[in-house]
Amino acid sequence: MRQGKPFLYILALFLFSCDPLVTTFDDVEKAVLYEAKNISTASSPEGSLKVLTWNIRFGIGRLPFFGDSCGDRSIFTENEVLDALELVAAEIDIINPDIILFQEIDRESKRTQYIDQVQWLLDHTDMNYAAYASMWKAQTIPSDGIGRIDAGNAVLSKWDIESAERVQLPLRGDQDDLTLLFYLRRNILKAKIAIPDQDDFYAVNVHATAFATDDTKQKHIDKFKEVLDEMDVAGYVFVAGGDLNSVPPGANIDYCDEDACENDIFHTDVDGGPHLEGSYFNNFENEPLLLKSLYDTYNSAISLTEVVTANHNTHSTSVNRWWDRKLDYIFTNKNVASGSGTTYQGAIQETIHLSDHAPVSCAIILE
Amino acid sequence: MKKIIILTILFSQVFAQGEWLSGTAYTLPQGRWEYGLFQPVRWGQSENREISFFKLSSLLMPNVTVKQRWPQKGEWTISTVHSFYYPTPLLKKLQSPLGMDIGGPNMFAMISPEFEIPHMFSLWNTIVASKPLDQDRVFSAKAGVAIALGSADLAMESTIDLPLVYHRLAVYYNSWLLRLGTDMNGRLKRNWTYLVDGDLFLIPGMKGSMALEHKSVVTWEKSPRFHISFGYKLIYGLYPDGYPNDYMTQLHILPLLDLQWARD
Repeated sequence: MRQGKPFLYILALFLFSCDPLVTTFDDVEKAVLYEAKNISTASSPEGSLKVLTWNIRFGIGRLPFFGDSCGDRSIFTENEVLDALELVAAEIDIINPDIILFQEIDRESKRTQYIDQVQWLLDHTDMNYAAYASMWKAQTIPSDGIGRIDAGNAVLSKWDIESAERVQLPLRGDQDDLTLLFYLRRNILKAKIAIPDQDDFYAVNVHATAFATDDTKQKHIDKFKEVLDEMDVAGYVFVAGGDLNSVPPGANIDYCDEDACENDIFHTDVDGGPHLEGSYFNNFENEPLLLKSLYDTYNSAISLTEVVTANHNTHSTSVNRWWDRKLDYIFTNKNVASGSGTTYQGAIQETIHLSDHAPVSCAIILE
Repeated sequence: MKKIIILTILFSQVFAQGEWLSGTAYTLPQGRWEYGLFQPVRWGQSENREISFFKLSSLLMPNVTVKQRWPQKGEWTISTVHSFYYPTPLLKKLQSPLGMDIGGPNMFAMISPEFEIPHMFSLWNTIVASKPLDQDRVFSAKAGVAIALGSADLAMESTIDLPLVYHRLAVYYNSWLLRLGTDMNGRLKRNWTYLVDGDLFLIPGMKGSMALEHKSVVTWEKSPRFHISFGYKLIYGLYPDGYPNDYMTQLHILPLLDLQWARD
């Protein structure tokens, strides 16, 4: 028997397989399109449509993932993932959106037992069509036992998605080459949706960098706004949103102590550092005002005057702490129905257990 | 009978008994050693018994293989091959290859550290039959079963879902598997030989329940004591998948290169 030999082949193996070890992307390329197993009838939007954005943490609820929440797990069981997805689907059924912007949705990932969560959520909700753009795709991630991964953003719609494209965002500038090779390649997902009686309607989904300590986040937000501005100038209608990993102007900018794991110590240096990656929002000049230009240019689900209130916080790193910051947003170049902006912090279900992000929705007025 | 004798004589002139023919039913001559960069160390313990082990992985995966050649039946030479593997230390190492002191503790980990790796071992038992087709070629067929003991508590989620690895380690997750295969060894020219083989792994009950491997290797015999082999390995396999599928298929090809030495 030759059982020992495989381990010596592993390194060379990836160079000669049919798929690349790590998938890289063009600046702009087509997104992956989906259909539900059973298409349900979608009525006309009757003047407005409801849009939801939600980072669903790849369908693991609040289980202790090693990458956040001070967790110690990388791989989750099929039952754990399906249980979490059932709760996500139930929440969607209650909210009943017409369009969903999902971030951190998995398919073909070992950590979530290869469940195609885009297809699963299409098949277990009233949504009919989807577009998907990967932000992390590799045959194997040689760290923490992650293995095969394909995670990204998705747009789900009750109406047909005519076309969709994936727009590459800049890579992090604060990582070594090896880490960068296997790291996330974030993107903007732009889907053209065939809404009855509404031409040129786009849903735009983004998940900006969370952990960069340089100005990568600035580049991501700039690119996001550039894409929106181009559509606006072209006369297109859009609803755009996602997990911008940025706090709104006027919000607290330092969550290092709140997010620290056991034995972590921050803020010991004279200059105020070190800071916990992802928990500090003043890494570069004007980062606390990063979203101001979006608020100044477009309408939002939650207005600037309301956005720093606790009622609209959408994130916490621990299930033991209530939502303590806002990272998730919806913008549009149409009007938002007055009072429709909602952050689902737990009034309907205990959303605190469904993900480390709360869903946000609003109604967009079409006429 | 005359044909058998002629074939055997011709074959023995071209392929000395078992030399450089690890995949056949032939065993090494007593006292002969063969070893390669990646091939196992093989030793002719007696005229009809060969012992081998993988040297590089032995530190972390103690293993030994005994090939016993039985009295010849007509043109066919029959052997049984019995292997023992204890993979626990290797799998534990794959949970933190660099240890706690270099880099992140889980850097390069192929198995998540969250899983317990129990003490377990596997026994692979194979019957191999070889027959010379003419003076330049020998055909071998093999069938085997592997069983694992002590692996009941191994979490199914801890698999390494990579070609060559997944289907060999599957025995620990499934408790057993079947392996079938054929080899064709032959001579191209005076100093050039070839090997073409195919192996089928069947793991009933696993999501990735099958792998078909094919290897083609050409060997240059620089001297009776030193060979250089090169070729490729093709792997077509089923691997675990999730909703809406049960498995995914993948095809991989990789280059093979080995240097082998021998001494009597």
